[in-house]
Amino acid sequence: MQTKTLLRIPVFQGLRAARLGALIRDAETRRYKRGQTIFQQGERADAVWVVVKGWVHLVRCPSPQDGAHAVVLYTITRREVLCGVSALEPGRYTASGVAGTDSTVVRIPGADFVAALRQEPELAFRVLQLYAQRIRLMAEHLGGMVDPVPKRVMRSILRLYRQFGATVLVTHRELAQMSWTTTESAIRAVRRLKRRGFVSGTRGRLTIKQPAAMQEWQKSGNDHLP
Amino acid sequence: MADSPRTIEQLLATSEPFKSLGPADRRSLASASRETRYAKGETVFREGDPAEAVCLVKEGRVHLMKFLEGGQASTTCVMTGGDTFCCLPALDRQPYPADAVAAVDSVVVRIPTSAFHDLLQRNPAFLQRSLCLFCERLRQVEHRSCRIYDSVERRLAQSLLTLSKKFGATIPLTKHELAELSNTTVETTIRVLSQLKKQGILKSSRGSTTITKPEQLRHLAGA
Repeated sequence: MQTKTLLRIPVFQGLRAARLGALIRDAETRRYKRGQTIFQQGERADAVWVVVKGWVHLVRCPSPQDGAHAVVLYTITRREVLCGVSALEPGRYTASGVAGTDSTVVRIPGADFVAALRQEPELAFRVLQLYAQRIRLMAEHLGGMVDPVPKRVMRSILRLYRQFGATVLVTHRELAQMSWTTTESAIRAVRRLKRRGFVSGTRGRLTIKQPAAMQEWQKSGNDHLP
Repeated sequence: MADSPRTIEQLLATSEPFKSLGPADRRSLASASRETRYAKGETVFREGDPAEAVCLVKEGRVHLMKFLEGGQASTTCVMTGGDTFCCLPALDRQPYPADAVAAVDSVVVRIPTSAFHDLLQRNPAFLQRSLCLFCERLRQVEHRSCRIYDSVERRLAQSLLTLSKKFGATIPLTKHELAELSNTTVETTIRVLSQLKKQGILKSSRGSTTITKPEQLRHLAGA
């Protein structure tokens, strides 16, 4: 089951079924409830994780003791696929993987994945492309660190819209982490967006109603929410 | 200076990820590449420009910068001799993600994106080396992401420590450049550096800062 499932994922397409089977020989499929930690920042990075179903947030804290200032670096879906890329170099996970929704992941031992990267140039190239995409998006996000909070929140919402469509399951706290702000500020920003008619939603669910208008406002250079 | 493939070849032999190339591939890449001189303040490329080349600093210093609405500038990376930058477009075919500006008179080698891409596809050792380089860059970007919550003092200390790995104890950046790298204002940078000077942690002069007590600076940076 794992082989057929994984062959549908772009990064593994092109691998012969037998080769993929060898890669995941010691792999395990695991299921996590929303909010559960899949791997922890600072733990020994000994596995790569493939998201088969759901979302996984990569959450980084400035230090293990400072959970209050956690930021969501990236959200992994079935399209982006890979978490725990720290396992490709000896060391520790540089961020935690936290299930953003009920999720199914395949845990592949790091040593097996590294061996496959060495033996399968096509796989290595696709992983490199994944890195590039992730670095670019994170660098763009970093460039916006100095933007006002409402703009950062709107950017996060638009990113979620592009990844998941018009309805997304996201709490204010998660949105705050993605926007690198406090939960209170995220609540205020979302309330204003609701008043403007850009979004609607109830607890933990957001519907993006006017994405085009939101994108126009993002480009306008106006710092204040309409 | 006339183009000098042999010199570019020697540069490639000592720079990541090109170190892994054999002599024939290095020669071929060098002959396809061009050196360009940039005066201090000159733009190497702009954000949004079509990405035609992967760049390698041969001499001098180049800053990757984001210019925000309102005129504020943020420096995301400082590149010095032997540093490769903007490999991303060779992989995702998107435009340059930031501006690159010569911070001092510099010489930059431009390697055609197509040549870099071609090497990735046919040279497994080069591909593996690039994978390690990108893994490290991803870690650096992840590390920077948490700094939004850090105090200005901590951000400046972290910037100085990171720069000391490139330059040694004496860092030849102006206060203006340190401010852009640490996402703060020049005035705040001057104030914080003065405080650190009073504590004996560093010495500061026009155009440079010398770290005199690295352990205390590391403590301040939370390292």
